[in-house]
Amino acid sequence: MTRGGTSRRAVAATVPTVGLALAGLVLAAGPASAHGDLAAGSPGPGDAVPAGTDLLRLDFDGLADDGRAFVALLDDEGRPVAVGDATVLDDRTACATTAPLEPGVYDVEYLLDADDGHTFDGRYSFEALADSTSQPTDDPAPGPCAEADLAPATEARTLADFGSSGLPTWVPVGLGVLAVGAVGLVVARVRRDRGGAEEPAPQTADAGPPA
Amino acid sequence: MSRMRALRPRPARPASGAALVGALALTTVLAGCGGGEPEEESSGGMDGMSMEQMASMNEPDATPADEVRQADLAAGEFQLLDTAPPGSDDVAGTAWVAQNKKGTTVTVRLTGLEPGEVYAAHLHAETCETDDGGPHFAFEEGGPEVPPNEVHLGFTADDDGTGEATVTNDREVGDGAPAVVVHPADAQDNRLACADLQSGPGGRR
Repeated sequence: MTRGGTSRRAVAATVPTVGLALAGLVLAAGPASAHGDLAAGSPGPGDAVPAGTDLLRLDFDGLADDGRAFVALLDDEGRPVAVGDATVLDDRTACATTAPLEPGVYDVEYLLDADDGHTFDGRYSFEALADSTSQPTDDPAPGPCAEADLAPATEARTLADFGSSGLPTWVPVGLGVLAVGAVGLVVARVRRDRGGAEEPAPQTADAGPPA
Repeated sequence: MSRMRALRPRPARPASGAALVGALALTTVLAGCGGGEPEEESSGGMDGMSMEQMASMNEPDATPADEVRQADLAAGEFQLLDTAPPGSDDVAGTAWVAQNKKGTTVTVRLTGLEPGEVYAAHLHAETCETDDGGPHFAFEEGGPEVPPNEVHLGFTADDDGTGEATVTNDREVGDGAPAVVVHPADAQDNRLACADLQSGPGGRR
């Protein structure tokens, strides 16, 4: 067998298994059903808060202590509003500062890691009302966020700007391990097949010493 | 006398492939962490569905629930919820659930919606007064959070802001689904409206 043929055979033998593993990994790891449902917020879904509100508090059922917490805010034109890096205070509250809100409708987008290892995301809208309006407003309730040391709102970002794929952290790590394993398998198979092809024909002691 | 080992073709070794399959199994187990623990609906996503999939949760050729014959019919008017997206004040509508030996048919009709917006509706396990309908109704609790174990509807509001959807399920929901909740498909946290289902003048056997 030629070396090229050996390599192709090795790759062909490895690719299906690796492909199966990668497909399973990616399909199983997308952000989807997870613990960590949004339990409340300030501003929360459908709330009407006074313009000038500058703090976002999101309560969830269960957050990872050291997981990712991305919170973004979009105005009614879909433009990102400056929001500081989100801080997870405990296993249920995420806080982020924001630029004082002008009157308008806003969308909160979030992506966080839950305490069960899943990643979950979501989006909801609320409204900031001008002081002059006669409509009742929901008073901001920062809760524990009021005492937290939060990053200032300096950068307007969308969730995509955080560079998050929405996949749990271990997924890219797992993909890397699988990739290295796949390469190793191919190399090992190629070497093995080449070795088998180049080894001398069977010999016996009866053949006698070389001339 | 020395005897050199005769070289033979090596049998294929499945060990390396098995290692990767093992990795697959491991990653799958990790990804599905919870060990069989019932998973809950993603906070604001679309139950893992795309907008197109959500909008396809509709059987336009099915007989609407309020026209199904020889069935138990329950109906309810949608009431706006506090979590409704801003600007939803004009939303109104009705939900119907018909049950007979063939299973369950659910129909929702709403007006005052955002034209072109994709909406989702689900049968819920609690009344509107209890946690805005509580969790999704499921035929088997802890089972898949998608049809046919749950009853989901999806539709796109037309240019007039009206929307309608009908879905069927082979099983009867019985008394386990007292409410229907509708929300924008991409913002489940913004529960828009809830309808308590009651057998009444519109109901019949």
